[in-house]
Amino acid sequence: MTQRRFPAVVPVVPEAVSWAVAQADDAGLPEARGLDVKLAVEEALLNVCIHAYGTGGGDLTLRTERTGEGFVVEIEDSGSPFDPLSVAAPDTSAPLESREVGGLGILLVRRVTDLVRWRREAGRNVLTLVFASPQPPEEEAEAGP
Amino acid sequence: MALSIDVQKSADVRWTARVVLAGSLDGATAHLLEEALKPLLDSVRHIVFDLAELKFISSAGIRVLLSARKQLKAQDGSFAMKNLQPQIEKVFEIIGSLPGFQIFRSEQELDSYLAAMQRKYAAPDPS
Repeated sequence: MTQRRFPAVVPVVPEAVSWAVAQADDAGLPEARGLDVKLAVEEALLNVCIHAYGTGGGDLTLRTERTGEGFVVEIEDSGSPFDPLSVAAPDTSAPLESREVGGLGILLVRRVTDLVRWRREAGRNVLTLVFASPQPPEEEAEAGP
Repeated sequence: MALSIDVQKSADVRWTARVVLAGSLDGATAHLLEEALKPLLDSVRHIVFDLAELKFISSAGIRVLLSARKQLKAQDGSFAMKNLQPQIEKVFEIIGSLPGFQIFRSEQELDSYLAAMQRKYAAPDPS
């Protein structure tokens, strides 16, 4: 498990994203999946920076881990309760210009991750992004009697 | 990953430019494209974005492109993209925007489009 703290401000997002992608690399994720990590983490971090702290400012903690589920990224902040997953998905059949541009970020997060969860725990928002491991090859079935 | 922007105004077809992007169009670099497009949007009506070397795009980049597209359409112009890499195509598909954009799949398609533009805006006779 690796972990790093960053100020929750937009100019720091590129550095935080690069860090998360480097962890994905180290964990052996293929390059295409690394691009998914880059996208999901950027969109999620921008959401936190814009919504979590208002004018007060604060920190966020980025945590990555290889688990049974796959490569997991957790983004934790101690801002006001905000569940990004509760934002209504934009209507993707509507003409592009009329759609809520703010919902695009979370739509992208949902679609490039295998699982995304949000929980509120001890005064913190915790967003979990899971990039599942590819399925291992099926074991050869034992020959029947 | 940085962003490189190469603006090529067409010598043959008036009001038309090709913008070649390379690298990453994300939260850190989107403002660079926005700044590069400001003067261009005042002087052209048709822009083709060549995305062959664009490896990554996020919603920040999409917003800049959408805004450019909106302005071009308001000026009775057009917005098109070509040579989308798989990651880029995937992102546009996710946000459901592909049907709204004009995408060229080959140089021939693009050439036909530009030829049509050329007929529409025939350059003045030098004589």
